[in-house]
Amino acid sequence: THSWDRETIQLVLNLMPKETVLFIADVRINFDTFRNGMTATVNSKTIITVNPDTREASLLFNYVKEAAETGVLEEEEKPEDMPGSITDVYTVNQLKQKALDVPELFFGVIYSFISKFDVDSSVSKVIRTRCTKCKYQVSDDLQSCTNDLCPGRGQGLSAATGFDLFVDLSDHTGTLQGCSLRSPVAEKMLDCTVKEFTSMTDDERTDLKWKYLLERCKIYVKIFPPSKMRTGVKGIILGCSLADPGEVKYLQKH
Amino acid sequence: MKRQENPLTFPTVPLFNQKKRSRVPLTSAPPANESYSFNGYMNNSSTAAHPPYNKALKMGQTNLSVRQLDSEAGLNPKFNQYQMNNRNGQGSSVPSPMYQQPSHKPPKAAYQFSQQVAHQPSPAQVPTRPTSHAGQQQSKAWNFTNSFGPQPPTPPTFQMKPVNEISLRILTAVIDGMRHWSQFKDKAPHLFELFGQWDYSGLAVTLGPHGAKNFLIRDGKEVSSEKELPRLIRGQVHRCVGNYDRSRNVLVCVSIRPALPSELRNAQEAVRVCDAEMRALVKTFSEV
Repeated sequence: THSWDRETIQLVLNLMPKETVLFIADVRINFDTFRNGMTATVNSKTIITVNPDTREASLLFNYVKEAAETGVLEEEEKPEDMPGSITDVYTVNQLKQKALDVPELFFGVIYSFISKFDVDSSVSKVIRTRCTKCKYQVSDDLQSCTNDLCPGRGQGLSAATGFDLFVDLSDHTGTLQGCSLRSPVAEKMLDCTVKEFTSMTDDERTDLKWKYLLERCKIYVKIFPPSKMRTGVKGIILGCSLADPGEVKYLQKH
Repeated sequence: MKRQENPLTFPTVPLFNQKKRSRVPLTSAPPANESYSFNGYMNNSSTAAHPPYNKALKMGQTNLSVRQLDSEAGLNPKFNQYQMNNRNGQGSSVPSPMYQQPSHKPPKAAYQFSQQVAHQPSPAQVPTRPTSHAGQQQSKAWNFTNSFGPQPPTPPTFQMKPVNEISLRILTAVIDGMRHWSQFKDKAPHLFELFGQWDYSGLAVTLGPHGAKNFLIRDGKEVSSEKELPRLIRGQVHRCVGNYDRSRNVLVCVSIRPALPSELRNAQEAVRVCDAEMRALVKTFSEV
């Protein structure tokens, strides 16, 4: 949405993205060739209502909150996510502390144990199918997405299946719970595709679990600080491998 | 940014009848019974997928009684750093209260973060409690705001007070360390990583004059269903991770495997770091 109106700009600048619902009436919608998409432009007739008390707003708020909790909204593979460029080493507690001190996302490396890694629980808890448009979890035999607010509602379901589980990372300073481990990072770490994983026996999955559970790993993480939508620090795993004990670093520069 | 006029602009479609529409924004607070709050959602979201840490321990538990051998039979003689502090100790009954290592000073820089944290006792500390940031619960109800008129900057509704870290830690330790730090299990839940040599009667860890009967208990049912115990080779150093039971002097292991030479080489550093961390933490307990 564009605005040339100072008052509106002020209003919008103060709003927290992903935490605010806007009801916008009388906004001009154009196709913008520069941005190659539909854009909305505020004019003098436009009325913006912040956080209106309506059922639809409530549903939208809930949807975004859930998406924020599970981290689906925040995941976009960007070039800076690639582990090669992440070099800052933290302990678990340092990660948490930094996330509290500096309320913006950051990247880091931790050398820690994996203290929860339930890859051998039921496959449905490890591999999930999500609508590609709204990231809601769906079952892939559906005709269309079950999310009322899905942008693709009314069209056929477009879904993607991949690894999608939560792991805990622990070191001598504490535990970071509920870190997301998803495709394609999981495939690299587990060295198997979703299909291969699904065809494994229970014993094979258990072996896979114990390859990493309570072992020292070198883990690249993307950290999201707490927000109004989510208490607690959220971590997303960008890369994970067993650590070479000789390279484990306990001393950090932070 | 210059906005380009697009000759193909679509005509504005009135979204609803402008004559009937009131131009008054939604500023009035609706009656309470009409508002939509998120209680249903909140009840589910805070517990998410975080079962307590001791779930991990239920799998493949093996009990090891911990015994200390003479240092001649030993691993790395440098592990004796605890031995000298406990020379006068009588068995395992009285661990030394002040865990001093006079010959060793931990580098301050690495641990300054633990001093910066303002220490306030968390209410109702339970080892299974998930990460403590949920201490301050902000109002989750749907907040209706006035969109017109001056908007005061919204103060952050969540407050993250630094609290004592009570999530699970995994500590590399030697026997004496394990016995000492396990005193603080209630305030600082932890698992131990230990390196020891397998001998005739079970797993033994070198150094220290403490003698304790050494035996291995297999919890047959759980071990066989979860993971086969590796063939434990006598004389070989193994790495165990588990929970130390002080009252029985038993290390309840969830993971045992032969240790890698590189692990052994670096174990001393790991022990040193963990000790320093725990020492700093314990100090804060007494300051409260």
